[in-house]
Amino acid sequence: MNSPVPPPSGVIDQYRIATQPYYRAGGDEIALFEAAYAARMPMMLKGPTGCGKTRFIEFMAWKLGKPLVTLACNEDMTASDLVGRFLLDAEGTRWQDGPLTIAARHGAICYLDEVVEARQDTAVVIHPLTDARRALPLEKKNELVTAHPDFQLVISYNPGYQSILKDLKQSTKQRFGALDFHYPPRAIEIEIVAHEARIPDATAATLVSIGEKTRHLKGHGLEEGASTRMLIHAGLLIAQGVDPVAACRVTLVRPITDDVDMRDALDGVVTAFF
Amino acid sequence: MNDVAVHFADQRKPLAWWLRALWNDGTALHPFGATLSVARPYRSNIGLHFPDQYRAVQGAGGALVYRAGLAHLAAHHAFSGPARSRKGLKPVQVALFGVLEDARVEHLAMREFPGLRRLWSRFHVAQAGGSASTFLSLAVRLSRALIDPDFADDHPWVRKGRSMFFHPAGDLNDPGFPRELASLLGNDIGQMRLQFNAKTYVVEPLYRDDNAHLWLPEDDDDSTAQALMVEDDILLVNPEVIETEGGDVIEEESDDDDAEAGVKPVGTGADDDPELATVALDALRVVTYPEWDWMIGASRPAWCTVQERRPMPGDSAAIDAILARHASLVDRIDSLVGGNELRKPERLRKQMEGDRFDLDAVVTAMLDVRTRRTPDPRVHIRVDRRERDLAVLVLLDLSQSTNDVVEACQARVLDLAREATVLLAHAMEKVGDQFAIHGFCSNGRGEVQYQRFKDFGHTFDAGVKARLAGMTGQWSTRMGGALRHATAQLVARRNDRRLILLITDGEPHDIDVHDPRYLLQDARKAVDEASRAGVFTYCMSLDPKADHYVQRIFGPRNWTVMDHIAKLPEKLPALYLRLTR
Ligand SMILES: Nc1ncnc2c1ncn2[C@@H]1O[C@H](COP(=O)(O)OP(=O)(O)OP(=O)(O)O)[C@@H](O)[C@H]1O
Ligand SMILES: [Mg+2]
Repeated sequence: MNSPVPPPSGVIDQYRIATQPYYRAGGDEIALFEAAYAARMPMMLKGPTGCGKTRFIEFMAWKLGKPLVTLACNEDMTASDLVGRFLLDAEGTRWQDGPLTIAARHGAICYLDEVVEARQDTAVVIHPLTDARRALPLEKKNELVTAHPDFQLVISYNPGYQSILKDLKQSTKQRFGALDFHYPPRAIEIEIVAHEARIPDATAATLVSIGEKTRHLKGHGLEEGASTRMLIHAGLLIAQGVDPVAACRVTLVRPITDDVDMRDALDGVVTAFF
Repeated sequence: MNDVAVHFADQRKPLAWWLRALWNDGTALHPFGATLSVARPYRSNIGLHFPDQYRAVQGAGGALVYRAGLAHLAAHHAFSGPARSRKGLKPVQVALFGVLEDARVEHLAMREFPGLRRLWSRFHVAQAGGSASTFLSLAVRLSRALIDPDFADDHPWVRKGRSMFFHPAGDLNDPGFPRELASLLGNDIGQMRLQFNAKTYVVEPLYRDDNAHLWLPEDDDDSTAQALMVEDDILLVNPEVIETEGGDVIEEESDDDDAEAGVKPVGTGADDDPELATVALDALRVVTYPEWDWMIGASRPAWCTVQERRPMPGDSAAIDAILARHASLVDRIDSLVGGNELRKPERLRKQMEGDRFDLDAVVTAMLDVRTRRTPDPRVHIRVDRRERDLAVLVLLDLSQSTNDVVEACQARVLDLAREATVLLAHAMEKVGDQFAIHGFCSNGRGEVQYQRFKDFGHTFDAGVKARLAGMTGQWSTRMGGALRHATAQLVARRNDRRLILLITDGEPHDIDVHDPRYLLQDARKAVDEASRAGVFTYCMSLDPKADHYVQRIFGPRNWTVMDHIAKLPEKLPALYLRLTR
């Protein structure tokens, strides 16, 4: 409203999710998230990569009927990439809202994926949005954006693999409620893999078994076992008629390790199943 | 790539990861020095133990043997449950229980890991048909029938075992499941009169472990279980006894023991009884043995007299010339034997004799003394090379017929046998086996001449070479008496495995016997007696027409007929190494 250059009408509409994303709940996360949303509580989704966090938030946005603004964070990111910046155009300068500002202004759910990847000084810009103020100061523009009532901030956070140096500050963490995500329970993961890769349940079950076995090696030569996402990738190749052992090599074994001995061990895991 | 030896050291990491991935199991993996093909993986209380190397097996890389063995041990761990008592089972039933239990746990494991069937079944290469005259020959077929659905075998016993194993009413999940089956099938073996020797029985195929962990050790009231008990004692490696230094317990330990035990150069005979050697040289014995008369179905007591004769020395240079002439063959033998002489010692607990006390055994024995029970005298720890503690007596037939000239090479049978023996001696020395070379001929039942060219205590020195060079052939072949005399020498030895390797060019025969079946039946009897005394007999026959009688004397497997006698010098060492691999 206060913006000198109001966004063209419907700018937020591109962030709406039209059709229901496929999400298979593993527990009571949907209800918990609904409650958190009702309180507009900032939420943190914890869990290893590829376990369904992104899919979950897409589903929740759809279910709550809110637009979803997603931003994958990285270490080159500056505060401006989140908040917005002045651009030069024919008339001179023009302010362009960043994704966070768009979400706050228009009442979207803002999902900052892997927020730890962003530099610390970048991450602190979210603080004012996460406490009672629910406001976003645009210092360059000298504007304080009060968050739309529908706005919610959600971040994802994988406690597993990043260095202590990169960890979120306590002061940041404590602003969020947290939901733990894991690789789904076996039966559910089978359902997911079968659905996403369009393969028979039996094949999906084998892939899930392989995934489970690789996860035993977390901390023993592997940073992380094969994710649900990787299992789906294997299934997608199998659905195209690729030999299962080869499909697993390409999508599960090779991407996960560069160590020759580990590769041998994982190849052995795959061949134990086919 | 397939026929290169695979070393455990290169496989440890992937194997450990594989174990952890598939079974979420972080059990330690250890190598042990293995030279015999009978070396099998095993589980101890410090982890899983594997031969330190495998040569290529049935076209599969050794890496797969390790993997197959690891999966098998893991399957036992998952499904075999606690050790059980052997009571009430005959040795053959104990062995069969193992066969069935191996199959049972593999089937349970294959329910989760179907790919293991391919991994395991490639090692099951037993063929249907052929002679089924030993327990082992049937057991390996049953093993294959239980894992390989495409394997067709009409043998009634194999069929029976298979259909009972897969009977819908049977519950593979029940750890007691194999027991009844083992009893039934074992009784059938008894009724078929198939030979079974618990002492020499080795689990097949080679990836399978020794199954010692299936049984409670405290079961020795059953004397038939003794053979397996010995194995148990060997297999129990107690971590308290091993002074751990750093990461790899077993290896540290072995090096240490090498120094302690003072690894002796092979063939010095330092651990042989010096008296025995002297006897061989000086006191010539005359011993009278019974002989078996198949017509009356009884032994004739004190019937056949064996007289030891001092060999006439020849020129030892002739023997050196043999080695020189076969230099490339000697090289080949050396490379075949490879690094095997560097065997790692193992620590054996509960031994009659040894370097130091086995504390646990001492405590138990003292408790027994206090409570007025008879203490077990086996209270020592001995460092030993259990993989290959072999004594071989090479027994040469020196009858008249060995003077015949072999057309192909214009050499006498005797010369070829001598050459072969010299090369064989080289191989045995290289491997580190203890061996003796004796010969015999006969002149009626009163005079079976027996000569010792080399005894266990001797080094293969100029004296031995001279005696071998002076070897001559005369008279007849009264095999039984010679075999009994040879057996008596081996029975006196303490080695784990004792072998008579008979090299002969014809069937038993003597001037005072006219029934051809008489000496043949007697020889067969002598082989039986030897095997009952724990002495294994193997015959290398140089008679191309031998098939019809060697089998009757030595049983279905323990003989080879050389079709081309000229090839004997190269074939004999190779045969020996294969036989004892
Ligand atoms: N519970 C689930 N329901 C439906 N699909 C799922 C579920 N969990 C995982 N998936 C599937 O796995 C894929 C990867 O999940 P997703 O992208 O949500 O992982 P993520 O946890 O966000 O990973 P990252 O941390 O790398 O972003 C999804 O595209 C989806 O196909
Ligand atoms: Mg076994």
